[in-house]
Amino acid sequence: MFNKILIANRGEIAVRIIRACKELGIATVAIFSEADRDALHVQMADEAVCVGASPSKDSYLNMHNILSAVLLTKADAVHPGFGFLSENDTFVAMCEDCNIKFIGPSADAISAMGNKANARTLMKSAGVPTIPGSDGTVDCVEEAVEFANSYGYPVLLKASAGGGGKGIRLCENENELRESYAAAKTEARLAFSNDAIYMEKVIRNARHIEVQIIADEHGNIIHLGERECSMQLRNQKVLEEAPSIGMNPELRAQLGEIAILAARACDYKNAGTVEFLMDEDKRFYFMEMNTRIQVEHPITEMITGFDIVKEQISIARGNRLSIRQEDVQLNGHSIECRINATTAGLIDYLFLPAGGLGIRVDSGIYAGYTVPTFYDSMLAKVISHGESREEAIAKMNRALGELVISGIKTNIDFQLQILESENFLQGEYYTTTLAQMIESQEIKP
Amino acid sequence: MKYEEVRELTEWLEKSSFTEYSLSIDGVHLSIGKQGAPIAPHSQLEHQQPKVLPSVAVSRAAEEIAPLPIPEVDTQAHIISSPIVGTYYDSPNPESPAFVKVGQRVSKGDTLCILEAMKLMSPVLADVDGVVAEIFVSNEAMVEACMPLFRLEV
Amino acid sequence: MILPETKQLRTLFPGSARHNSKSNSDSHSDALMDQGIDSNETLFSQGNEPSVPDGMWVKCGKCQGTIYSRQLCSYKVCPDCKGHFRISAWETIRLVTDKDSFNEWDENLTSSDPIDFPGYAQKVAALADALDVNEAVVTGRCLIHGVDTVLCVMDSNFIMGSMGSVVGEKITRAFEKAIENCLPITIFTASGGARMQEGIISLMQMAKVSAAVKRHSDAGLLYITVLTDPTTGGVTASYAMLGDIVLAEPGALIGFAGRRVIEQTIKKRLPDNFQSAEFAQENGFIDKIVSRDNMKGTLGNILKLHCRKPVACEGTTFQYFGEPCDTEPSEVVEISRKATRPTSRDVIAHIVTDFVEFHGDRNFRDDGAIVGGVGYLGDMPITVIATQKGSNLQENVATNFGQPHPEGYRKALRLMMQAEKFGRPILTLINTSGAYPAASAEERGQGEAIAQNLFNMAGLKVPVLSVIVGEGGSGGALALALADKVFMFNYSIYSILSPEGFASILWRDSERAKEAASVMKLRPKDLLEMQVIEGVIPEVDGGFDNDPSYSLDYLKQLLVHEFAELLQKTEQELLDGRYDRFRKFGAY
Repeated sequence: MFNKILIANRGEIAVRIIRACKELGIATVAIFSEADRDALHVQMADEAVCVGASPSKDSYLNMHNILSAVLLTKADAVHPGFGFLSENDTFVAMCEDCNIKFIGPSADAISAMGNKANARTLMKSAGVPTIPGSDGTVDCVEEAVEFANSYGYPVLLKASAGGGGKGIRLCENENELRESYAAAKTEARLAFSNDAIYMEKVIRNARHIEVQIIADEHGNIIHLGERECSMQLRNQKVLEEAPSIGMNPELRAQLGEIAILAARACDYKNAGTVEFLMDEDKRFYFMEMNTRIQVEHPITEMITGFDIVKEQISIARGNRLSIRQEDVQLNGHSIECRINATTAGLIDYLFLPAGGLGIRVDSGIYAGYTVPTFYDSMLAKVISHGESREEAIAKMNRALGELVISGIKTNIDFQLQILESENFLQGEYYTTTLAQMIESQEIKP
Repeated sequence: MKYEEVRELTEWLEKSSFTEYSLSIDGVHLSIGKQGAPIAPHSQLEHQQPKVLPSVAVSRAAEEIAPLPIPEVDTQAHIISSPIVGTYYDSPNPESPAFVKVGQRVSKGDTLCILEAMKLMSPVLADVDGVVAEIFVSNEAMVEACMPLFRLEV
Repeated sequence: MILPETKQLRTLFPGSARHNSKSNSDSHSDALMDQGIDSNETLFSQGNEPSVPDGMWVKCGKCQGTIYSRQLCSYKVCPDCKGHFRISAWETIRLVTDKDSFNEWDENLTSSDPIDFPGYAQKVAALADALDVNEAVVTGRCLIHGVDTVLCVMDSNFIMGSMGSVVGEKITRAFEKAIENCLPITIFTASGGARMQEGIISLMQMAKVSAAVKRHSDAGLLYITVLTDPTTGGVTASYAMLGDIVLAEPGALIGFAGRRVIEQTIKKRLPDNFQSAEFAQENGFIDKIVSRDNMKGTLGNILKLHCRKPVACEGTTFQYFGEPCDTEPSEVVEISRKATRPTSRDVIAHIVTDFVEFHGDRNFRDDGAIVGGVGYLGDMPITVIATQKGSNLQENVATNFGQPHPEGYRKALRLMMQAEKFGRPILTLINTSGAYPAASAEERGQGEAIAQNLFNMAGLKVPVLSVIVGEGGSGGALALALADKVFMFNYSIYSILSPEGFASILWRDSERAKEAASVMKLRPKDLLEMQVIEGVIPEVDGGFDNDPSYSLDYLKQLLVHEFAELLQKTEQELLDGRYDRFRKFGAY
């Protein structure tokens, strides 16, 4: 096994990875920015190295300092978590150059899937069904208008170098498209240093369903079922559940096969997620592939009983997958609620809902912790697991009712409203549903 | 005495629990009072009276001198921190003497030490003139980003 | 309620948190072993441990930034500050020449140590062994974008690129072979100057090579220099500065005397950008700064442009329809000066393709009021020289509101003489209120500069056409308008003085400008009648800013036709025609 792993991340995912390492007997190195000196992950790790000033670009994205920290602490592997450098093929190449094991896929797989326009093209040629969209990038506004005219409005302008819901603009008609095109390019250039744009037709009443896949370095790939992620606001996931209500075993097997096909097409290794949109006719279209562990991985872990992070480490070590596809069993139902801070500040009191079967909280906060303003606002993930969807919902309601984070404002109440909404309870919701519920004032954010 | 200084003092008085305050400096006398507090008027000075402060009268007459709040004067500590994660070397090579010692005067641009990261050496230069008051790390130590290396007295 | 200080959180994680990773892993490794996973097998045996390969990171000499070598790519340009790293001669040859097209000459030439300098011979031998070059320059013949050229590339790795006997001999031979084969020559310079170890013989190389340059130039052939970092001393003071066209890499150190020597002599600190390529361009000594990734393309363009000598082609037919307007003179004046009127650069952009701009007068400064360069009018290579006004305040400051200094006219002259050398027709575009009337202009000889232009334009052995696009202001305009034919845009003016100046001198009242305009006869209609111009370029009502294509398409066709006709004349016919054209003016 690895002797020491450096976790190139922060917050709850860093804590998650450190915990997995401890259980495996692997020493841990945390990295932190000036703002994170007192963070939980820094205190939990065996060693910690400051890698720069508070802004992400100076610290968590500072490849030079992070690599130096790996070498000086004599760590033999790096786990990048999600976000930050997890999909940065330059960083992976640097690790490869230095014989440092990057716990994730290769630089080539990341760059193949990281460029969203190219990924679509690759998937199409591999026979994976894709969302009707442009062939590669759309380089001028006239091309954009031409595409929209042939596929019909509404259309989405998407940044090729984007992902994770960022850099997306919806255009309902030609006027909007003409107005948005230049702005979309500028935004993309500023956010991702790459102004390439591709387009997709908007699929009405779509469900966002993603499949967790995991591959070892010996060519074995399996899927661990799907996750329903349609409860979104502004392309950011709010609540996830597994399995998806709209699925049945046949569809699941089909979708799993397609996901594995996608992973093979880019020679994928380690854990990844293939995201699809499902339309009203239960047809699936490839949307993008996330070449890293995801925020919502815990719900898959709950229904399969399988520790994805530990498996990531094992695969990186060179071991074969510890289970086969036929061993994968989905038991019960799991829900995750993302608890975000809506104001920054000091958490002066914290009560976490523990106790009872099937409640899990993954977080990086503690009483006395000051939430910094430099990074994303996620404080914790509350995960419930029950034998049925109803039971999982009941447990989540109970858990959120007990959760107290005092000193800052959070979205706990927002989540509770979602959980008791008719759409959610019926399991009838699409990617646009949450926004609609807010607009109709059924839910107050 | 400048208009800005008068305004600053007025603002300070407003926030403090004092009700009035007067000062004599350079032959100029200043009295400020909060509402309700009595102010003895004095004759005007030749130069301009600040326009916006109705309760301020500036004159030449000497009055009692109230204590001025003395701002804490920083001992001008100037910390030079490491910009990178690396190894600290106090001399250009093992045979040479150290670049600087405690008590040594340095000028802006002088090399204080070398930081090595991934086989690349980067010198750390003094960004001000001053005296090396403290060296926080020892030769060949691993340094983190933002870690203080030197304290200079400017 | 605030809980205990965060630092104390560590005490909540007792010593077991700092476990010995080996002891804990034993039981776990058994469990893994059951699954067929051997965790005792270490991933890293000797040689597999994480380590930094040499050369993985490099430092940028300019911004001191640390660069991941994979991001450096073959151009070796810093991704942060765009600073150009110094590269070897062979690296340059690979970047700039067509694949497999380079044939090396004289690769085994070595110095025989002319002044018996101690240790010199050994140093040369050792370097030749260690490096991929035997001396400080590699010479030969190659193709650049398909164009045949002699190429010399200096290498700063070899005794700082210094010029001794071998460098001098190789380059001289290169020039001689170029003359023999009627080839252009391109030289990349990178040198600390003359080679000390060969003493006076190194100094003599400056003369030797320069003489060869002169012969090559007299043969009417093209010489392009590319100054790279560093180009100094005896190399700068000889062939480096003698190119017909002098290009430079961004940020390159270009100078004669060393900075430190100068600072010590004058006892003052010099500005940071002193002796940079940008500094040299501002001071008028560089034609163009080209970044390394654009170098091959730029060289290819320039070489191709000089490949063809424009020849008289079949006479084209052309429909003239430019009728001069009869608008109120003061209104014509107003339209000619409108802020929205397209500038000379706009005109060039519309009618000239592949325009490459050249800078500087090789004397004092690059004047922003004059734009000059080469390009194609249709298929024909031409030199274009224009007075340029700005379209906003910032641009106007840079172009001095279109009022040239003497150095602007000298830039124009230099480019015109170069056009003559290569048989290239010349187009001038004029829009200026006049030559800049200021002390600085007087100090540098404004009158003399204009006079020299008139003198030399009278004898140019290539066709010259002038077009007045806006204001044709007096001598400042005439300095570019001693041409075979002169045309005017319909709402432009051409006069001895501005109407305001005219009124002010004659009637002591510049407010009477409108009146002045109506008596001065400055409209195209008037000038056509007086035969000062040959034709008018039509414009839509209110000025061609309302429909640029209408006027510019006509202009382009007109120019193509006129140049074609002029090219059919012999040199003598051309010169006599121009002489007679101006000879006829006068009423007596």
